[in-house]
Amino acid sequence: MSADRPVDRDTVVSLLATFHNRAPGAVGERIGSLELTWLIHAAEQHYGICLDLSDAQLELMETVTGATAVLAESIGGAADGQ
Amino acid sequence: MSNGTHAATSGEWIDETLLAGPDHEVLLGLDRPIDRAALRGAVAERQSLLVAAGLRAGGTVALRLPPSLAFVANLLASWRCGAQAILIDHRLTTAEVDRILDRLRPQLLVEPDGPVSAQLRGFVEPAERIVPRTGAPAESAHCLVQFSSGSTGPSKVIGRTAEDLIAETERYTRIEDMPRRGERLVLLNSLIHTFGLVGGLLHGLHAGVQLVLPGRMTGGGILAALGAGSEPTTLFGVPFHYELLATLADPPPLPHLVAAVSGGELIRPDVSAAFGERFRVPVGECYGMTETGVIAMDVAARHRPSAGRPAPGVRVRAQDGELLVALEHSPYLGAADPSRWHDGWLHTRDAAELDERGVVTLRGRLDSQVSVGGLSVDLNEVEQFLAALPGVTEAVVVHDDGIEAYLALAGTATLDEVEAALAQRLAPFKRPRLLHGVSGLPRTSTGKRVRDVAVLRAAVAPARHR
Repeated sequence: MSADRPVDRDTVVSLLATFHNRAPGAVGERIGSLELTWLIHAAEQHYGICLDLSDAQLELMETVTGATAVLAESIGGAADGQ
Repeated sequence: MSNGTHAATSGEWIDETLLAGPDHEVLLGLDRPIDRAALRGAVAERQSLLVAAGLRAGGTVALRLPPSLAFVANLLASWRCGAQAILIDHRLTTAEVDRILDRLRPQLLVEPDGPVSAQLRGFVEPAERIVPRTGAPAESAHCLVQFSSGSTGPSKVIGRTAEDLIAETERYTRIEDMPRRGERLVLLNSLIHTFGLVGGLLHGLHAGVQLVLPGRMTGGGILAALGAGSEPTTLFGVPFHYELLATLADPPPLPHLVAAVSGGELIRPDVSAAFGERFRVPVGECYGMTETGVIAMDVAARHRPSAGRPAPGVRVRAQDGELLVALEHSPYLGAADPSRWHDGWLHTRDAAELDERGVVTLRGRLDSQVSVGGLSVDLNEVEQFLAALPGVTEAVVVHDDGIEAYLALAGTATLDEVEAALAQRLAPFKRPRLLHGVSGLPRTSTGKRVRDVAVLRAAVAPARHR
């Protein structure tokens, strides 16, 4: 996973998989609140940025699909890269 | 004070124990520093509003507020009125809140005046509203009503008296290496649960320690809070926070960070070691329960992996491998399992050992001891064994008509590989009858692993075999 690569679904799954060092295949579609905190933290570390997301954006990030769309919009990428 | 029928509680202890001290001493670090004079003003303002809404000594008020100045001010104002404050997690759904309100029947509800998302934030500042309800005065002398975390089953309703809270607040000042006047405490724990509330907020107010809540709960946000002051700084968090911080590859030096303490559940040794390596501060442990407050604490991690000595004034004993804590009255409101408290002792249900120095070493939940074909099995031992296997990142082992394990796997690890490792290294009677793969173990809102079988079953992912 390169920091230069645009954000797509695989990126989000890879970042989520670092939570408890899971296999990407073990990452489910639904994102819990701890996982969401982890995802944003991991994305900030990976891209070296600070994500200033609105409440509406955070609400959309309850699924991998929603999180991909929000992060692609915020960081840049292919949200529909499923 | 009686623990039975209602006895009005004086609110004077707020001024004497929590709000006494220099006017300009900064007590809270939110989006701005809030000194004692400003906090006194905020408390007085909320008290006027609560009284105008009908709150009296012996009355009841439920607080459903995110971490905020509004929460702190309403809590202290409620107590200053001599009322009973019921703390409701702001993250609960409306249906869950309604069930609590129907059960406990507070006379007032203080909640945000509109939808609030506190996701990722250490604090928010919502406008709040007071909602009068058809409720009832307090039926006990408890000034605080909380709910147990629910990690081992349905939440229990737990009451604490003002005397109990004062004693615990003073107890914290006598615990070795706790932050002192003029120091900072960065708090990541929930303000409505006992460690964050008493060890963080009430201790800070009482001892003159500035309590800092990070604006953002990401690694960067926590680092910003830790690095924002030049005073000696202590960090309180749950294992999740330390796990998160331990992933920071190259954190900036934090010369003022003097201590870090984990509470809520036992921290994994690899997580505390990784944090210690990154930040050059070992992770200490706080062991306590909603029912009792702090039981043992080891701020400087002198006794790791033990939880340290019992906090000053706390009496404990081990009986048949279980840790018991002296508690004058039953902490439970309403129906409760009579075996949990009797004759002045609370049964923690935690397996523990006390050494000759009195140091408490926790050995897991006592209800982890089961009998399989007449042979005693410690589910905690099986759980630790599984969690240490290559490829297993998390494990919860339960007994539900047989031993079953719920596992989160790393990389390409499979349940078949785990089963093969078990067959080689664990006695047959200890081996789980069933292994379930989960993408992540379910956790409570405070990050504790859930052991409720129904919740675990719902989290099961399609099996990953060879």
